Amino acid sequence: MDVRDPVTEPPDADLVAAVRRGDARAADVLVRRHFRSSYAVALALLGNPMDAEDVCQDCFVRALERIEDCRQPDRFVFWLHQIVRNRAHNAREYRRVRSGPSVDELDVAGADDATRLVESNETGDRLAAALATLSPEQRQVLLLKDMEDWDHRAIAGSLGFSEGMSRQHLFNARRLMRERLRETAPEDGSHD
Amino acid sequence: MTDDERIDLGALDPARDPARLERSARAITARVAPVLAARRAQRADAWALLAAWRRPVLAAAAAIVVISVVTLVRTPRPAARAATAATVVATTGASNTSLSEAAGLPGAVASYVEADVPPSPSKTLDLQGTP
Repeated sequence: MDVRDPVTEPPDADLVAAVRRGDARAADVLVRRHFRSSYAVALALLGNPMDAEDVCQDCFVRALERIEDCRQPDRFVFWLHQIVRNRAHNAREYRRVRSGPSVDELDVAGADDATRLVESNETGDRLAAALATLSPEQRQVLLLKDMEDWDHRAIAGSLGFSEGMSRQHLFNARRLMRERLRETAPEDGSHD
Repeated sequence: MTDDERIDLGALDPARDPARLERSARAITARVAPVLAARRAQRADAWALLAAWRRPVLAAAAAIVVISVVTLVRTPRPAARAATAATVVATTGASNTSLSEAAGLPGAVASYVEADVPPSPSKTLDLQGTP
């Protein structure tokens, strides 16, 4: 996962050290490098693109503000993902307790963006619905693997379980997704 | 257990909308900017503090060097110290005085100490009367 040119793409540990010195450019590189995977984790746990994006932003801000707490800078992304998981868990609890209007309903402009983000066509809706039937672990593995192209070693590192478990979750997640997507596949209207 | 065919999750990928991704990244860096600026300022303060202390530290170091050199110059060298000791011996005859005598022991006792031989019981009684 971390095969990068050390000159043009410095490792996370160097970027974390630079952020600790107040380097804004290093912070920007970290954000761009890890936004998608963090978003994948947040989306896997929240199921809502708009919420996932909000949580993702909050977590990046929190992580960069408390970068001194990152004890293993070379594993920055795993630390970040853990922050995302905790924050997503809290957001879900908050949403459940409040059981009021969702973020999308409160933020009309944001809702428009979210609609654009997950296509209003059936593909996005069907994917989201199918994902919702998986376990949180299966969703995270599936999104990190099939959206982010992470290898099982990295996924296992992020989620804190074995590579074998990661493979098993992926296998089950793909099988279930195919079944759900097949069930909800749009009917071919070409016969009329 | 193999299922190598990936699921196309492109519709959920935030990178589908690069402009939105860009906005998110900028929003994050904008929110973090004050903290990073404070860190830079803190580091700059540390350097400024070091720079402010540079002159007095250098002055103190120079003073220590001068005092050390003067002390070294004014302290007699080993050869000079030996000559001084020889002069003292010549003038006082101190070279004939044993270490035990110099320490204040009576001459009779000092001879036993120098010879490292214990006196007999009768001699010990005699020595008790020695001034």
